[in-house]
Amino acid sequence: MGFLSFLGKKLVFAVITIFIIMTLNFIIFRLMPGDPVAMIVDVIRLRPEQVQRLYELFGLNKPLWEQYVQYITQTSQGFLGYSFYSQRAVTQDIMDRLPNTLLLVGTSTIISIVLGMVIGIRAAAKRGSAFDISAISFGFLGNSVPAFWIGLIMLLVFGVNLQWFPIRGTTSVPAPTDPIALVIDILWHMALPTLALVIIQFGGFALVMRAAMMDVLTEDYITLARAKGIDERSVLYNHALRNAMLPMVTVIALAFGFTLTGALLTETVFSWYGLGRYIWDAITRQDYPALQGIFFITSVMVVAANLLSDLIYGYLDPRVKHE
Amino acid sequence: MTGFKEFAIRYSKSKLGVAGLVLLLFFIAMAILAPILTPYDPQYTMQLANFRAKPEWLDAALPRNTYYIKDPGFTTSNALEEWNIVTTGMLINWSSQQGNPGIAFVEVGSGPGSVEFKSKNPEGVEIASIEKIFEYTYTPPRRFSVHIAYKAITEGEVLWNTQVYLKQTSGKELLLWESVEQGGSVDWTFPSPQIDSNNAAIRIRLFKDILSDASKMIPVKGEYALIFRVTSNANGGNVKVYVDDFSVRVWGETFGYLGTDNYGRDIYTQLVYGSRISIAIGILSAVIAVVLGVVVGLTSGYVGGWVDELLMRFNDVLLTIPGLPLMIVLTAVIGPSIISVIILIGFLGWMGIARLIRSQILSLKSKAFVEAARATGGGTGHIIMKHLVPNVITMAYTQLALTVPGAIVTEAALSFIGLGDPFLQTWGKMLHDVQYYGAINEWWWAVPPGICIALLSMAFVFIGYAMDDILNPQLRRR
Repeated sequence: MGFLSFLGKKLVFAVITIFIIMTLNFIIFRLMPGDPVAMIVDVIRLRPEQVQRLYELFGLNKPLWEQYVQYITQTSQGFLGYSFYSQRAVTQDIMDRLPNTLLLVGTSTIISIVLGMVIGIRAAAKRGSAFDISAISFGFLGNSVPAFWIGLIMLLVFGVNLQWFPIRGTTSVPAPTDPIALVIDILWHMALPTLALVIIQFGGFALVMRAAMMDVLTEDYITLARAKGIDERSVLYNHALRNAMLPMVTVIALAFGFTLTGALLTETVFSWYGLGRYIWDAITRQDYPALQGIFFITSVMVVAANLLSDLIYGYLDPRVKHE
Repeated sequence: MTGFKEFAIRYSKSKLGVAGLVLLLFFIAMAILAPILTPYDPQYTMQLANFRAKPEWLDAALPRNTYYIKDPGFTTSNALEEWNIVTTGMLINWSSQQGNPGIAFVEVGSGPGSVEFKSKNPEGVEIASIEKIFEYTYTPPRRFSVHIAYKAITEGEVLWNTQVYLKQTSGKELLLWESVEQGGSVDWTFPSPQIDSNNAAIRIRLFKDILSDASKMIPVKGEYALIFRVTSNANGGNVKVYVDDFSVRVWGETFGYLGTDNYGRDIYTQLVYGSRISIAIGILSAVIAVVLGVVVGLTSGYVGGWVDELLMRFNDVLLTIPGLPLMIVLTAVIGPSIISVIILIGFLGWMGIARLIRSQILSLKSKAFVEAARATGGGTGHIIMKHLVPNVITMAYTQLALTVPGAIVTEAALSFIGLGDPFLQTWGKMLHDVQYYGAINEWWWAVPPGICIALLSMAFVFIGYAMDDILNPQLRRR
């Protein structure tokens, strides 16, 4: 089949998915009862001519399919409407907060993956041991506990009671101007939410790594490697891990979607100035354009992550390319 | 159903499975026995104690909810025995006739008993009072309220008014409220605004400090008295003043096993009733998801061809769309309610199951017995019902058990953000309240709901894995 056509197929699928998401977005909010302009007019008092102008501006006086086309074009160009609350472009609101979310999600995911892999490998190597059993239990626990609750508890224990960490925000108020101090300040604020996210996530990665490793460790070539006298550590990390990584890559990308939503809730708890907090605020303030924008952006991010994982998987596993 | 008996025996050997079952039964018991475990309603029984009260076992010195008047409705002729009667002329008696009939939808009358103050001298000033002495044994309260209803019948020319005092341990009398001096009759009425330490006007008048609370009224332990005083100034007339529904309440700073929330509702009650909703939502949404998944997977796997392709593409698209943001958007539009939550979780949770069922069907389709059934003339429907479904059912049951935890946690997440049913106190909603009212420090409120969510989820996870081990041996690890 070749790598290029594999790539092309995945890309087309991703684009179609995004298109469907945009359409969904459009439909859902047209289904809403009430007049979108009326919501804005509530906030600012306008004369009838201005209201009429607003209608024209939003294209609400055009037939539905024309609105749809306009919506698709606008969204593709990055325009996501104006927030009811902040009166700014939603895109700008989101861009303000996106880096913070990416910082939090990225850091916690990387730590969770590494931690999960190490634990999973060890658990598979020492199958049935106390380490193995506690690893599984923690994995189960992490999946069952609501993400935001762990955040609440940690905030309670470490932030409020022990006062080792700050209880809200991305930086102190006012933020330190010295760049090094600023970085340290952000890290200090980031510690608790990251820890909360890692606790929840690493279990999933550990479990998958363990299962994949256990599958691989029963293969013949592993037995051969051991028979050849290669030390156990090398067997694990050089021979087994490479093949066990394949399912891990899939899980990592899929996990991105879950991580995002988990981070959304954790951000709310810690008042971290990111997308998660933005969702909570948008819901509390009934800021529908903001909700639409968030939904679209997060969907695009997840689609992109899946695409990336598909490509990496395709690169790593030669079998896929030649289906 | 010998198969079931064998399944049960094998299940009982699985430690995880038994643990999960026990845990689940615990919560089911909690759900069923809820009305016995607590007499209150989780949503509507408010003001049980002061807002954000602590659990009773946390600090015994903190004030409890106490009503100091034993018979506030004066229902029996012995009602006056707990009162001290002080009079310079007026006659004070228990009256069996003139009880407060109450106000429709606001309060219930207490029956015909009341206390009657009857002026004796046709000329001059008379003052009479009844006072209730009580011993206060806790740390200073933050809220203190007095409820009273009164009525007056006048004849001729007379001026009268009534007052409510709180006498402190030092002997100082705080005037909590007095009626306007007037000369006519009034039917049953109440002080307005009510006599409550939350009332800023009272606090400002008495203490000149808007930030004060009931602790200024009851600053130390000791003996206090609540006094109701009637003054009449007759000029040839007389007046009869009646008092009823006279209750004095120190609002508890502690209440129950887990304290109260921002509206004075019992948190323990919410926790107990929350189990009902979590179990119901978890199972219902999971059932919807599994049914959808089985139908789609079955169709896709058996029919094959472009139907299969279409369904699986649809499946994958839905998988890629991040669940929580989509649910947030949909709920924000449809409006938060328990039905929308259940449907949403159900309609967005079937994708993985469909894939699983489909692969199972695909592997079964090529097996010999299907060919044999076809060869002997079995139609499509017959094959599906009699051969494929039974093999898939066991997988469906397992998937059901494994889908419930996700449903429970998702409902909790939705409620936490504020998209759950606003009229149902689910565990997630409790956590929302903690976040919304900034009550993180009240760990007795923040911790239990999360633990319950986790335990209930884990119960289903354990059950699911145990079932998986037994029913799907082909997936067992080598």
